[in-house]
Amino acid sequence: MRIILLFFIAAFTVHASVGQSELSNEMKETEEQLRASTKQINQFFRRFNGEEDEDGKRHFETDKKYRNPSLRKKYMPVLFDTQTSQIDPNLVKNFVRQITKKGSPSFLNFHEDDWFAAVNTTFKFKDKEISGLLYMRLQKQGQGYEWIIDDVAFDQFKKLFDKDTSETKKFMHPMSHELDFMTLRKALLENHAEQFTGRNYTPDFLTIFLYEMNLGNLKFATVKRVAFHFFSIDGYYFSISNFNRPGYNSGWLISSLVPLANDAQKHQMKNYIYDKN
Amino acid sequence: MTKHIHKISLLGMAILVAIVVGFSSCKSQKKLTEVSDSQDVAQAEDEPKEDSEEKSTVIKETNTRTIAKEERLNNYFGAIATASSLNSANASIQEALTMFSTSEAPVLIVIYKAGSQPDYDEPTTISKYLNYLKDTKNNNALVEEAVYDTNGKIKELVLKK
Amino acid sequence: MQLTKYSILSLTLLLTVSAFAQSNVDPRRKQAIDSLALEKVKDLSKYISIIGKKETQFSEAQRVMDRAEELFAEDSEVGVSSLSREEISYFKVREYFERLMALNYDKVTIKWYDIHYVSDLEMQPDGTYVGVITIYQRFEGSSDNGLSYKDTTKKDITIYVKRKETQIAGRIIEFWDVLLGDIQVAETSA
Repeated sequence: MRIILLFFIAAFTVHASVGQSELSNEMKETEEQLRASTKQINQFFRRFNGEEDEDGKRHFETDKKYRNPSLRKKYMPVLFDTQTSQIDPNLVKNFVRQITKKGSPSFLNFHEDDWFAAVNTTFKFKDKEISGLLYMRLQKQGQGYEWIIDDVAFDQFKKLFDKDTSETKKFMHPMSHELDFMTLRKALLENHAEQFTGRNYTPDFLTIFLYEMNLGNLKFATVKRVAFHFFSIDGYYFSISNFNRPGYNSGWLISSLVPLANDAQKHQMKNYIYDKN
Repeated sequence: MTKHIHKISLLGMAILVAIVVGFSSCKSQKKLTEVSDSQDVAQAEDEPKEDSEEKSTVIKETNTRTIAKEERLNNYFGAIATASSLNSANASIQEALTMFSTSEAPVLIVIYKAGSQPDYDEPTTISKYLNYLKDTKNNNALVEEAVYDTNGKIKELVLKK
Repeated sequence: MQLTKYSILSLTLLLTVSAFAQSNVDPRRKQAIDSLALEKVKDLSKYISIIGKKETQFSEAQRVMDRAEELFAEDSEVGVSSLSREEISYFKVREYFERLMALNYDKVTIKWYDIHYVSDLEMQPDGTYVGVITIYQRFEGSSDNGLSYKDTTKKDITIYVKRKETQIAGRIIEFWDVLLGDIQVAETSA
């Protein structure tokens, strides 16, 4: 009787099994690899959080498997690049243990988390092709959300700023005011007027970027590569990149994982990524 | 021993019933619905019967005829989607169009139903829909309801995916 | 006593199953909308197969290109990258179809893998939902002189979903309007 009951339960389970009969064996093998691939950032989030099954079918809050810890423990290794990135397996183990910790598991939140994109782009600057990084974040706007440009890093602009912070730096002497600042004449003759700025001055490259765009000197050409940086999990930083290759370890995968002992280290890592050193 | 088996079968039946009822309430059913608006139904032939019997016979006959028409339309959909050539598909389209008051007759497609208000795909016309079937061979919608004019032609169609 | 236990159990099961269909998120409605969007993508796939096929007559290809274009929001573009060149080429949708039709092969076969991934629908500032559907296409082109080319491309297709209303036979009908948007086409090493 129990067997018949189980059969009926199984029969009610809807299982999509449509396949194209024309697929060759080679294609069938490829299809399995493509199924395993983490095809979208959305899928990365879902797999990380245990919110979908192996076939990509969404688990909802009412499903038993939703955010199931054993499901996540099983999935997490799949989300790491195991071919080229050299992440310490012990570090991975600790990381997985922490995010699946009973009582206080950690999940990624698309809207709320501290994560951003670093977009490697090509621009035309006065007819010369140049590279630049655009740092982008999600922002609440109107009825929903939008991506905004948070900051930029262009060598083209960076090289124009070279503030001398040594003891032998050029200066305008402390009695300049008595001559109505005649010292400005000699000071501003040379390049690198940033030497005469305050100690805490840092150039705002986003403003320069926008200024040059609005003047028409800078024109967008294309996107070369995108990486995503996550500071969502306490005590860790990780980044994900797109691995376009055959096999069962492809798509958007964790390419680096770094432990962060404290806020200072977190700050340091962010500065490094934003090229603010 | 027998008491034990009896208990299991009771449990089994209870669970089975629960699952069947639960799933049937939210699973999309592809079945023909009866035409509710008797005004738009085709005229029935006169028959020498008593008043109350006559009315129920009329409704029964027109319902049968309506269901037959809807079956015919579903068959046309199938014919168009599986046509071996453009010409045969176009021929089926022309034939199907004769069932309608106009080729611009509106077609509503239900994609989901929970409660009283169904969720629809973008409304289209019968001519556009039939050509869509020819191009994409995507025939996954069945007739849910047809509204008829006084000439027995379909003036509005509701399909369900 | 046992009967009461079984009744409670079956009642609980019954409630669980129906609650699933009527929860706040309403996964079933989301699934229905996902299916609708996926269908538009499959329609596009069929149109692309027809456009690319060498047997398709020019006038027929034009008609199918018109139908395909109707699936898209205005100003939609296709960005194409290949393994050999990092740089992406951008085309307007119509241009992309025309280039496909103009490919210089004697025989073209376009097949689709049975993989599709539908993202969550996110809300844009203007209230429209936006999502991405990923599919994979296998292209094989060959010429009588022995030239042949094969590739597998990943296609990430933007979808816009918006609640709209229209008038049908004197009544207001609300419906889900699904339009396709920008597409990213990337050659895979698969």
